Amino acid sequence: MGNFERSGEALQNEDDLQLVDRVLAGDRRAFESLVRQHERRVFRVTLAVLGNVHDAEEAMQDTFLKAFRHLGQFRRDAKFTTWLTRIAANAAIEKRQSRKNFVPLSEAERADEQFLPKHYAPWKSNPEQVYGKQELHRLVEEAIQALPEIYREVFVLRDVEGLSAEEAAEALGLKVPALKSRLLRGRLMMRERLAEVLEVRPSLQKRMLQSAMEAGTAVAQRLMRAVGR
Amino acid sequence: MMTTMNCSEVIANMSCYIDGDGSGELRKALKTHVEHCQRCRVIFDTTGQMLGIVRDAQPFEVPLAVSARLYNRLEKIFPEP
Repeated sequence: MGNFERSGEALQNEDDLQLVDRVLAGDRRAFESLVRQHERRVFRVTLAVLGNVHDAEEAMQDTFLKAFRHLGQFRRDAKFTTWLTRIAANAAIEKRQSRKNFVPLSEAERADEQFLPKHYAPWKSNPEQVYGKQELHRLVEEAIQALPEIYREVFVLRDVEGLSAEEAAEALGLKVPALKSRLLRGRLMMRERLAEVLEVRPSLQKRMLQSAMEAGTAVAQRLMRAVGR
Repeated sequence: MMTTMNCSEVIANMSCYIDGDGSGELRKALKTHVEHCQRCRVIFDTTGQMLGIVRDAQPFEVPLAVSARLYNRLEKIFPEP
């Protein structure tokens, strides 16, 4: 499956490169195809950095304008999606820094230093059957939106968009070790949040244990009676 | 020879296990720990489950109105020849 996905990605990149060539040759329709192909990815990235749809929309528009203007500078040593994701992250970060209530990241990070897991129970093995695809989709979106932005942007670039740690760090203007430590925390927070819904409740475990013990007792009593004691 | 790690060190290095990063020795030490530690094992397993669920969920669609405004703006800036 990994190979299949990779070859799918490679094909996607070939399509992208052909479209880029056509845009550079003056075909405006080809740019529209590129936008259609990637608007969702760009929106996810700008939303991850900015946290609200209004700002994400503006940054998405800026991203495609910049991409169009700088398309001639796209070097084919990276995938087109990686290049575009970098522009999207930049556009969103610029927008964030222009906000009046912008909090420098180091302070936001310090506030969350003490993060420890609280849920230690295993999860239901078939969440899609239990909750349905749509509900699960909603839960995931809510969990991502609830992450503090410094973890959200890292988590989305790395674990949703599938950039490498190096690519994601570069896109977000971070050093790789900083990216990795934020990613770990983001992952733990996501796990924690979904655990609230997906874990096998300790009370259920206890209930099962209780009923097993009661059943055991009943069986034992019956056996005792059967042997006449 | 790597000394044994405590639970918080194991959790701090969990991404190496998930992403296949770091030395083979480190990953082996992590594996040995989670084989014997129920709590860490659950955290590793459920983090893996979480990542699978997130990938399958394909979160965040572009709202229709947002998409329409994007095409509108691009249309204005790059009009049909």
